[in-house]
Amino acid sequence: MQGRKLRTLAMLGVAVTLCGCIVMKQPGSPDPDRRDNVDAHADAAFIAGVSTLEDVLLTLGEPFAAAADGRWLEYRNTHNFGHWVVWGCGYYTCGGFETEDKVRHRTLTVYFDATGHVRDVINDDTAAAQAPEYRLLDRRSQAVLEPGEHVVARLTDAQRRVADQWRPGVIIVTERALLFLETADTGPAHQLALRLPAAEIQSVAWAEGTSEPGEPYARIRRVDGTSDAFTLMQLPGNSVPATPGLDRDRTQHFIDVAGWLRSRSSRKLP
Amino acid sequence: LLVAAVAGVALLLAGCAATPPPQPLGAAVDVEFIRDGVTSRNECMQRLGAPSKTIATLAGGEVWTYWIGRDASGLRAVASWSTFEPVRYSLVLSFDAGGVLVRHSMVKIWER
Repeated sequence: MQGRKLRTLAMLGVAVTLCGCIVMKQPGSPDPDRRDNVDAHADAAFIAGVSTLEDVLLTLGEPFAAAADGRWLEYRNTHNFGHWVVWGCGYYTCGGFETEDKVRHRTLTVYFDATGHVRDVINDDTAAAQAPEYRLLDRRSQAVLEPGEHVVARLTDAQRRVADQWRPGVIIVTERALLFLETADTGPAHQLALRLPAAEIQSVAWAEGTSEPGEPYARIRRVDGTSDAFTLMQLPGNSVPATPGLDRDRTQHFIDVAGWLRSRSSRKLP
Repeated sequence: LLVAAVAGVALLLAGCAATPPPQPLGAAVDVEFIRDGVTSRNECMQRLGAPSKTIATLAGGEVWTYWIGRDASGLRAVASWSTFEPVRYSLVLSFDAGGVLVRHSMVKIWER
């Protein structure tokens, strides 16, 4: 009852304030990226491991962007609802103001595995400032973090040596641990393969290759005597055909970051 | 005096146009010829022109997309940036590795 009275009073106040004013809704400018078929439920039709690239295209139409390697399709829906113009005159003066354009964004990104089947879908009401690959990685990273843990560094195109094989993946460094998310060709894009707490890191340094002749790598020695081997590869956009493979600068950066993580643990020791 | 007043009002309102004038849509488009399992990629190229986007599939095929608008006169080709047609579709054509249409759809993108 009290709420209804307040609401009535508020509406009366607004009516008195706007008395003599002209209030107009201005349409938004044409939206080249508007598409009504990309809404909050647009991803419901796709089933991971079953739906294909063709299924998605035939259902949603031409995408805003597509990965050159067919790993994702991105759809955007930007709708400008326009703004309000309030204009009025009194005895001695005239004036007015207008509100900001009200724009709604939605980005739907569909990810595919190596067989062309849907592996993941991200559908949210953001303008998607990040590249699709990083949006998926961030979501996966958040899922494997502990409560209160934050990402300090994110190193893509990494490799970790497991049983005489270099496995591709992404290194995530938090203020507590080093994580390695393996990149898989099918199923979920990133699987947590290693969580190495800072307190378990004994040392981080360059080491000479045991796999590729003469190829150095970053070695992390653990306090229990075991070790892990990592390399950072050249990013696809930066690769020089004459020198493919290991990126020394990125690997050195990883060593620096892992060293920082180890030093954090050292400070906490009595 | 009246002419001057009208001219003055016209001049005042000249800067008030909120949206650009509608642009003419493209050429008429006929999609009746499209048949799954029958229509070839070459035929689509001849009758619809170059696609707006081409996406390769892992099976060696291709998916072609076209922007199509619809007004009172029927279906018409539109540029991707055009937002003046009353209804917009995305025509999707999926070809196999041999260039034969396997599946197609006309996806309604929005209706004004």
